[in-house]
Amino acid sequence: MLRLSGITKSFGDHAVLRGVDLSVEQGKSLVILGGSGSGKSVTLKCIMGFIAPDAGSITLDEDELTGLSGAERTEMNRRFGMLFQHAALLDSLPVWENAMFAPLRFGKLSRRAARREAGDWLQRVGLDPAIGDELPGGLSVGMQKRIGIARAIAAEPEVLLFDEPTTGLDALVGRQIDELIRASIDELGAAAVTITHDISSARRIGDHVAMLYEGVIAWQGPVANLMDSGHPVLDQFVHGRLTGPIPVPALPED
Amino acid sequence: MNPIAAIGRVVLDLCSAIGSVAMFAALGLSHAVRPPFFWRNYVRHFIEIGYLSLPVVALTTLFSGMVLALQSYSGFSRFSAESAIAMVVVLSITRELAPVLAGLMVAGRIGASMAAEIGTMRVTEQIDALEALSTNPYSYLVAPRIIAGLLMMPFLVLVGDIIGVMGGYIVAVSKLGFNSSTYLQQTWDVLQTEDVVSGLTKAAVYGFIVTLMGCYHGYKSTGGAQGVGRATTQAVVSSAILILIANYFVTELFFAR
Repeated sequence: MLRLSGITKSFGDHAVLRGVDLSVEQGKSLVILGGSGSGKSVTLKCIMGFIAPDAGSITLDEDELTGLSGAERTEMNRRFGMLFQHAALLDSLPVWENAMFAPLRFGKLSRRAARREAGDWLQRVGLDPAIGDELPGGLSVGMQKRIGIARAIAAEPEVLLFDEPTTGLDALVGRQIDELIRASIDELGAAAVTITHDISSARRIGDHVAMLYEGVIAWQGPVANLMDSGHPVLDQFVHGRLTGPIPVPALPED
Repeated sequence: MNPIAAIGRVVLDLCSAIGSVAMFAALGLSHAVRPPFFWRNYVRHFIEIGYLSLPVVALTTLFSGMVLALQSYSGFSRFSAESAIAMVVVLSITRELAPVLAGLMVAGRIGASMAAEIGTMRVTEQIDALEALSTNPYSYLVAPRIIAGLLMMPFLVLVGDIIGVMGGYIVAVSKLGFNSSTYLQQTWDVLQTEDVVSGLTKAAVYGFIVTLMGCYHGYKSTGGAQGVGRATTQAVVSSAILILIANYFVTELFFAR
């Protein structure tokens, strides 16, 4: 189980996270919703160890993740897989090497075996194995995200993290990516955390949803209750109302 | 602002920058001597620096040697000291011109490309992705580049030495009418091990500076495409300045009596 307790993080005088409590069990998928600047990305970066929280605890099973040394954190990250918002594929490596980076890095496979196995992984994410030798820079965003998913799951991690997985994708490709993510979570039995502001995506991926607002979890509950939670902040957000507790900057008249 | 406070701020910023670069260099070097070693990256940068920079270094040193022979002849003939041309060419090339010119050319070619590549990786989250994949960016990105710079620059300069001396020889023999074997004999007689070793030491120092500045400015870049552009400029300018400063100190180390 991945658990966050009392996570706070400030940048200068600006408190981004003001005591975030979340947990997700193995095989379950938690989606964190929130508007721009609500602290979703900071939460994810705290989980991955890219930034250190000011206070609070993050544990994976019995292991504390905060306060680890660089080397300990690097080792700990073997238990994580992450899809970045823009895929963040290594553009100097061909597609197959990106997809098989973790197994190669940990010596689970020889280069020859990894090259062979990469085709299977590319097929699993709906890609033609023939693109294995191409560099990722020439591929569409949707293809890059699929390769990013293959890279995240190829190491069979205990925790999967997805950063705005449908950003920049059309509705159809976005739906395919969501289904791929859901299938990957179910297949691996991993604990998954997704951050998004895409309500449709949240409903397809999540078992549980948490609404992050002004640095705290304003609401959390099963995805089935997402659209009729009765919580004023969540209701305004999911139904896209311009009036409510979330301030929306007024457009200039005329 | 109070001028004393302004001076203090500048000094503190300078100390902070020096500390930051020193820490970065220490981390980069420490990951060069402990596993994991990403051998493919080492090979890639050995080729990038040592092989693909050869044409630009060869051209630069060739024409520098040729110009040096012409200029020396023009100057030395005023007091009948033309026979010193071979000595001037070989000592200037091996001690100064080959290492400094190669350093500056490699700073423009390799330092800029390293800063741009690593800077782009920073702003597109590829460095975060490496960390997420349990891979220390210092092991994967920085150590191979610094070691390649340290080891390949002396090789480049050694080749530059030979080509630069050859440039002077071509001009001296074909244009200025020197006897071929006499010129070569004079070159060989005056050249000492220390001349070549000092140049190669400078080359190693410059290789370290160029790769360190390229990696450092790229790694620390922020602010999207503009930040990458800024990092690239800073890498080249700081490399060039540091090369010229280091040149004095290494020269003093070898030749100050």
